[in-house]
Amino acid sequence: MAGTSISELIFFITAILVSSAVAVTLIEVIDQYAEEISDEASLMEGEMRSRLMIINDPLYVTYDASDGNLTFYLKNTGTGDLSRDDIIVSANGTTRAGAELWVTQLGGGSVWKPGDVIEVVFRVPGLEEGNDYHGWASTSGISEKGTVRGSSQSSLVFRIREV
Amino acid sequence: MSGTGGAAAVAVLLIGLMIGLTVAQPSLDRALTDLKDARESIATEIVELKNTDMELISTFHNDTTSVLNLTIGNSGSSVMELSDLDVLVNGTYAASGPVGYLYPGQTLTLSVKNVTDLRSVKVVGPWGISVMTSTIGRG
Repeated sequence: MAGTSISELIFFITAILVSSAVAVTLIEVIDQYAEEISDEASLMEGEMRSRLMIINDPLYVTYDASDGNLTFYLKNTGTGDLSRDDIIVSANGTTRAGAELWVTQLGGGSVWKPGDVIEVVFRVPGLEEGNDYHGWASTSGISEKGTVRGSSQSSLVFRIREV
Repeated sequence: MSGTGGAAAVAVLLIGLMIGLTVAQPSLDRALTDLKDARESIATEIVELKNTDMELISTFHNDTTSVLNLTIGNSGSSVMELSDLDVLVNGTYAASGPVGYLYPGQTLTLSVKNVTDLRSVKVVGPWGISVMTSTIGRG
């Protein structure tokens, strides 16, 4: 009789331990799932808020033939801030980013807010007037909490004007 | 006692499930709110964009003073923020709009100094909408 009680006690304790382990795993899985949904929603919101546009006059994109510097004007046409550090630009197959860019915020300021225009100068050797070129620019969105959320890209078919 | 063990195990699992859902609820709530806000904001933006339009009414260049005068009209039905206007002359950024608003039907005259060899003018407005011309009055 005592042996039966002990085995039942062991079964009881085992059942509690196993169910506790399952419950803890369940809590972690649900919490993780909720966090992932929250991250996805935040990312989607970032994608929706982030919009960038190359606003150059496509027939007269400024190009300094002496040093091969091309100028793009990028306007934040979204409703959230954009990252100046994550700007990537490309023209005629040459892609530049980071320290390869001269970035100036027209009108001043250090945060690229909606409506603000950024001048990006980057080196693309060998462009000639009268030829058609393809260019694009992209950057990341910045959430209200200051984290990178979403991205935006804009492209342009253009001709240069030598200055 | 094995029946008691089974019942206790089920109770523990249910409590775990409840705790899990309780812990997850704020995150799920936040996610749904984010999505709802984003959808509402997109819907508002689409309406705003459809209601926004502008026109370049006149472009006049004074060859003596090298001043370019632009008259821009709000031909949409929503109010435009003037600081959202950007002017490119011959492909180079030349000016941005002043502080203030341009109401539907109203016009704004912008002057750009030191303009030579004028070929084209492009004005970019809110949401990236733009108007441009290479037909320029001279005098």
